Amino acid sequence: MSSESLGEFELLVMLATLRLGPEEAYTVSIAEDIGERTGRVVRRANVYTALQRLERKDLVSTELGEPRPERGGRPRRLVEVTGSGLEAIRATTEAIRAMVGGLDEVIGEAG
Amino acid sequence: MSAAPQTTPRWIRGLLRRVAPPSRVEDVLGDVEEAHRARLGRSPLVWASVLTAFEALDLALALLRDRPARRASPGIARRGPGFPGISWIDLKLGARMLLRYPGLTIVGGLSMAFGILIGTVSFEFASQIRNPTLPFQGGERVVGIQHVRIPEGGIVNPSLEDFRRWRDAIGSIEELSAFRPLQQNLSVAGGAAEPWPVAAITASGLQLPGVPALLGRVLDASDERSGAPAVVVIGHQLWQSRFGGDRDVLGTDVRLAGVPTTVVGVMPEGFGFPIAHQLWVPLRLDGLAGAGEQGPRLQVFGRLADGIGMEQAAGEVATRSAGASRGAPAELRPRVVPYVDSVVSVPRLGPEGSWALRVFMGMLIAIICGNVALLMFTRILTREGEILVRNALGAGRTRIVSQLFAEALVLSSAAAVLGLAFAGPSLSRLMDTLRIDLDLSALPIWWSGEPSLRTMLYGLGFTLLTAIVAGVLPALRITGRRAGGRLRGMSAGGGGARLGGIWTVVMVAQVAVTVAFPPSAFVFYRYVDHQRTLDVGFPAEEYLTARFQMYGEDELDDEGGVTSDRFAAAWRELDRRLSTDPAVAGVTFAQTVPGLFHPLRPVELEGESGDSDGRPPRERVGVGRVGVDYFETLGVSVRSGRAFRAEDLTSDVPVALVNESFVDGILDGRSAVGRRFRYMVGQAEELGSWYEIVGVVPDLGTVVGDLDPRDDPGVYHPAAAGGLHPASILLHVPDGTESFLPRLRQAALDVDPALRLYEPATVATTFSTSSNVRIMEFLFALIALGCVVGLLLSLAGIYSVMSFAVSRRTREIGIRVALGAEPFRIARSMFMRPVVRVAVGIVLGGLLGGWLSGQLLEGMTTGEAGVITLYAALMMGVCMLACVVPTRRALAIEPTDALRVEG
Repeated sequence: MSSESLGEFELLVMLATLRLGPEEAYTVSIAEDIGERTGRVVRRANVYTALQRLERKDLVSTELGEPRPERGGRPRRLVEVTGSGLEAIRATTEAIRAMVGGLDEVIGEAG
Repeated sequence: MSAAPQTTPRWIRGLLRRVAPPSRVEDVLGDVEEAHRARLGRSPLVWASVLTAFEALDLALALLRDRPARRASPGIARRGPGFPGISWIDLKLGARMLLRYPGLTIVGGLSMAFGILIGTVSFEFASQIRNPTLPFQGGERVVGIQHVRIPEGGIVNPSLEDFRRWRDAIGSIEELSAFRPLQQNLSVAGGAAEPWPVAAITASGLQLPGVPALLGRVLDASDERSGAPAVVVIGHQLWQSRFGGDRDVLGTDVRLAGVPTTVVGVMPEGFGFPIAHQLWVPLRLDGLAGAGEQGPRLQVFGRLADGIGMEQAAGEVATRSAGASRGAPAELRPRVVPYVDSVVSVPRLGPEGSWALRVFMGMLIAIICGNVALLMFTRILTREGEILVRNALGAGRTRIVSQLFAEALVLSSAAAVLGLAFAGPSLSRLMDTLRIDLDLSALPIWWSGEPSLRTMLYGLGFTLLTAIVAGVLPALRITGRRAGGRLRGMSAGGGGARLGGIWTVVMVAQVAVTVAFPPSAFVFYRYVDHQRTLDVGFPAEEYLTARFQMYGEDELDDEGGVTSDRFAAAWRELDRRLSTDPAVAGVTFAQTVPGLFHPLRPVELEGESGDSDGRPPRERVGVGRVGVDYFETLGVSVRSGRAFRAEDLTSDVPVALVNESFVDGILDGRSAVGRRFRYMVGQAEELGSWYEIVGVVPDLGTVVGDLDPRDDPGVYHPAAAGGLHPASILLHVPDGTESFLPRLRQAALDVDPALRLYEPATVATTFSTSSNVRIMEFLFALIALGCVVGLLLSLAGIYSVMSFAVSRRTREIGIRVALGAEPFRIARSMFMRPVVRVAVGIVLGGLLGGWLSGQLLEGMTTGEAGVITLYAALMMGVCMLACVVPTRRALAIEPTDALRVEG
């Protein structure tokens, strides 16, 4: 099976999108989710660029939602992981697990 | 999609609209708006704006990188935002290098940010004040018609009869309209009444901007008929605040000035024509009282017809007005001006004030540029070794210069974001201060508290220029022809490039300009100080003054017009009552109180030799109209000739008195009595009647707006009691002016309830707190702040550069100590060059400051010289400190350790 392999940040974006779901995943919420979970400072511009790349590869799809008053009456662009995207996530996470396997003593337990 | 209020600054929205793909504009703007609002809930406005600006620029760069053209050639290495030879790695490296030298980075960055802030705000402020434009299509062709009072030049609004006559006859100005600014109590749904500014306006006036109503309709001609139902159109802000944005507001009844009135329309957000209004009612001309010159005055305006200029229109208006109604006084002449000038009068700086402001801005920019250039060159010098090695290993000059330019671009971009983030709040504060000084309840629609996109782009352009100057020029110097020789010298343990040549000149110039800076601030300080301590030739604290105007019932209205019989009768009765009060030693009146700005008019003297074209010389004088007993009441003796007499009011020969400044400045001390002069009137080269000078009086403060307080030539004309409206009364109350105030108010109320009294105070208080003084105080505060910031930046820059230059000689110090030189001699040689540079700068700055003082102030006072001396002492003190610290450090380490330090 040949799947796209994801870069590290792309994987984080895809995982956040999956977690938030198609009703709540958009640039701002994805950046916040990654920041809260990883403790990183995440630039929304990076999230935006990553989503653009993923959409071109058909790993995510986007559509405009309803206008929201807290956004000055503008809509959110909601993101959803496609089937290909899910395959790519599985392939990448399996590859990571395969590489990490047997290194527990060196790396130590995850926090 | 509803047009909900936006909080993101306008320039950010404009920028992102330009760079975002069309399909992404709305959600990108929405993301930024959402994030900005979240920040506003957590942080102060300025900090939130700074962070939003950074994020917006970051997003804009990401959007630019992601453009489709770039994706077509994936094999090309990813580059920066279109600049040749610059990659993202260069920008990242530049950012890291900036963090490596935090002191130089912070000082340089703050200097740039301050320069960008000052440049942006002053550019936008000057643009808005000098070229105000009405914010709708064709706004630049809207003009107003006013009268000029002859001879004193005061402005009078046209009468109802004027408007009716012009509306039917004038073709050069279309859609001729009128409005009256009112203040009326508004009560909604039985709630508490509160006063609101109301525009009683003709239907054509409200339709002139071509903006349709958001809901319902605008006023139409049928609303102006007598007997038509009372209707009102409301503004968007009022609709939101008092009606909750209810879309069923049409047909709602409110009470306006106690009258039930129906809401028939809501205007869109941002609409406030004619000034900054939220309530518009029809102007019913038939219902206005009086005929001829009686009745209220109107603001008359319209749009110039196609192909017609203002002068042509002025000519037609003057023709239609000449020989018109019998009631029209001969001393009113019509003029056509840009609409904004007819509605709001912004005090203008005189020539000295304008020049002082330009000098200040120029010197501040020079200090900032010099500071930044020196700091950036110093930074590059610290990396000279690395740069020369890279050059030797094959990195081309272009490559190195590009990288250093990228570093400078990162710093200047960060500075731009900081400076531009503060630009909005600073401009908003500045415009609000102007609004308060002009006694306006809201900011007029032609002014904005936000910088335009054009101004922001100007700031960004300045940023790019700064990056070129600060990055490219020093880089070209370092990688110049002698680079190979310097590399060999460094390898042998010698020093690298020095702060010599042009950089020495830059440093000396920066010191000189900083020392010479204060005179531009002294100019404004002197004006304020002079106004506060003005000697008007009589004991001003013993004289009470107040401005009197007559109003109709239930409304406040600025009449500004010719006297009515009722006002004249009220005035004479008031005069009689006050004159018989035992506490009052004298009563008189004037159009303008001594010490306040007098209208400036050009005059021509009879018998004076002319210029090469045969035209006699024209001088400008301050003009005042005063009561016949004015000078006697003020206890001022005539210097020559005679004072006014009652017969002068009806004499066939118009007379005038002039002051001593007129005699000294215009007649060069020659006798004035018996001389004649006349005024230039209107907008054409038209000359009025001759006036005969019958006497000379002392200077009483006919302030004409120049900053030279000794240059106030003045002319006085007699006026009959009750013959000026509005007028200022002057009462001589030798004991207790404060305690007499309530009696003055009561006397006015007893005489006529419509006689309104404004700003009662002593004459001394009145002229020391006038709007001119307030504006000058504000300018002085700004300039003083600029002086302090400029000084701090200069000191920080000098310290950084000097300490760097001395620390570069650590190796040399080690060698000399190892060879047995005395520490004292070493220290002296370390100090010599920097101290000489600063001393030369101080001397040049003193000379420059002296010259500027001569041009602007005609010499410095002891206190002002003391400030310059303090500046010079601070400069030298900081220079010494900058030399002492690294020299002591170098002398303290072991010679062998010093020899290991890179030169």
